[in-house]
Order: sequence, then C-alpha cells, then structure tokens
Amino acid sequence: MSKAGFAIFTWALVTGMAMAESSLSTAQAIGMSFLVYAASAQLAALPLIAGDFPLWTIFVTAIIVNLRFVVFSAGIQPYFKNRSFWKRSVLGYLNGDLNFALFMSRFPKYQKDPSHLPFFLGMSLTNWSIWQIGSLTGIFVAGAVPDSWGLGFAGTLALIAILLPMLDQLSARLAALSALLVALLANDLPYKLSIVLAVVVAIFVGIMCDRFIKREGGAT
Amino acid sequence: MSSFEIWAVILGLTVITFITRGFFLLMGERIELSETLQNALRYAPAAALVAIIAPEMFFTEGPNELEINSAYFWGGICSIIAFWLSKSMLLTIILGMLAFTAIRLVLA
Repeated sequence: MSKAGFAIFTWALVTGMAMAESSLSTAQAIGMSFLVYAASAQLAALPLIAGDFPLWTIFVTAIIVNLRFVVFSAGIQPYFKNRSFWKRSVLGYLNGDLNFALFMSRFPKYQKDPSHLPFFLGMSLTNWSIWQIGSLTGIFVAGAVPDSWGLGFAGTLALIAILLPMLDQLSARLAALSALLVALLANDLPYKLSIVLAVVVAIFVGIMCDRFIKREGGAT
Repeated sequence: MSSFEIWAVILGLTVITFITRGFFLLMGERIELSETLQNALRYAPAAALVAIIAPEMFFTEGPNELEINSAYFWGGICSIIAFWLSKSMLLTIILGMLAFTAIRLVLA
C-alpha cells in the first residue's frame, strides 16, 4: 500500500472507532462514513451530537471546518470547468485534503491534458475505497473494546493532528492562540457560540498580524 | 439526540460536503474568490478546530469546570509534543492515546 494509502487507512480507522464510541448507532456510523465522507467535519460533529446541540450549530460548525475545501474547489476549477454538472459534483465531492494535494502535485499548472479526469477519478476512488475499508474496520473493532478505554478520545487526538500542520506561520499561531483563549473564556456560551466567536476573533487577529508583518517588511 | 435528529445531522453534513468541496466547480466561472476573502478564510478552520478540541481537553468535568489535572488534558499535551518531534499523524494519535491511558490508570 502506498504511503498515502496507509495514512488514509489509519486515519479512517481512528475516525471509525471515534464514531462507534460516540452516541451514534452502528447503522448511523456506517451511514455517516459513506455519506458525509469528511473526517474533520465528522469528528467535529461527534461531541456536538453527544452534547445535544441544536442542528444549526452543528451545520455552521461543519461549514466552518470545511471552508478550506471551498478554496480547494477554486484550485481544481480550471481543470474540470467544461465537464457536465453531475461530473463536476462528483469530482467536488471527492476533492478532500489528500486527493486535492495529490492531484495538484501531479498537475501543478493547468495545461490541456486528457489525463486530468482519469487520474483524478482513479486516484480519488481508490482512496475512497481505502477510506471506507478503514472506517468500517474501526466501527466494528471498537465494539470489541470496553468503553472505559476512552477510544473516542482518539478522535480528539486526530483533530489535533489535523490542526497542528495548519499552524506553520506566526500569524496562524497567534490566531489559533487567540481562538484558544476565546474558547476557554466563552465556554459557557449557549449553542457552541464559542466556536463562532473564536473563529471571528482568530480571523481578526490573523489579519492584524499579517498587516503588521507586512508593514515591518519582515518574513514570517 | 433522537435517532431521527442524528440522521438529519448526517444528511445535512452530506449536503455540506457536496457544497463546500464542489463550491467553485459547481459555480462554473460565475464567481471568483477575492484574495482578501481567501486570506481571511485561511484562519477559520484552525480556529474552529481549536474551539472544538479545547473543551475536550480542559472541561472534562463539565462546563465551567476548568480541570487540567485530567488524563484528557495530559494525553492531549503529549500528542502535541509527539507531533512536534515526529511530524507524524499516526505517532501523534498513538503516543497521545498511550499517555492518556497511562495517566487514566494512575489517576483512577
């Protein structure tokens, strides 16, 4: 199995276990795996489902967590804009973090090339299959493990492993730090509004840092 | 949450995956994302993740009860250190879980 395939499998395994350990039934965990197919949004939704939060807060949170995909979709738009609507919607659905990175490193600059579509579909459908096998394995393996082991916490750790690579620049680190302070201070706000507030403050802090760094003329 | 509500969440999240991942593909060439907006959006996902992770590490005894003497807090800290040292997602999760389990057994 390729390195990417191995990463997808273990990541799916953890997500599957976290779903099985949450308040989802087995059927719901399987449904979520096959339909939602977005690990960070799935893992982010689990504590909110367990905490009985209103649906709209879960949806707003998922949209924020998924905002990076909106930027990715702009990245692959030039390659597939002439395809039919249903083809574009399937391609978009499969355009997750790793698939996007693999596609863009194979075709960094847009040039007319008939292999865009077969490459994207072959690669992303393979990864989709590896993901589902890992996720299903996680869902069924978790059932054999006692609750007291706290396997669901692996989902939180997986989120930490997604978060940390995003903090590669000073402004991103300060923005995340301000989000942490807001999240701790505003923890008792209803409907997980602390997430929305943390996002707004982090965007403000991040932009201010960028401006300051630009004015000082220094690199990050 | 009732079973019906959870299925509604799952279907809603499915629609959100379709719309966010395909956004500009589905729009065709009608709109483009301005650079200012792209820059602003860069900070949003990390902030949302921080705000979801924080309560799972700091408020494990219940809302308004900040508790750092817990297996969750120290397990999280260990996974952060593991990531710094290894840059590996797998080791981040495995070492974090090992620390979490060891501390859970000690504190129990």
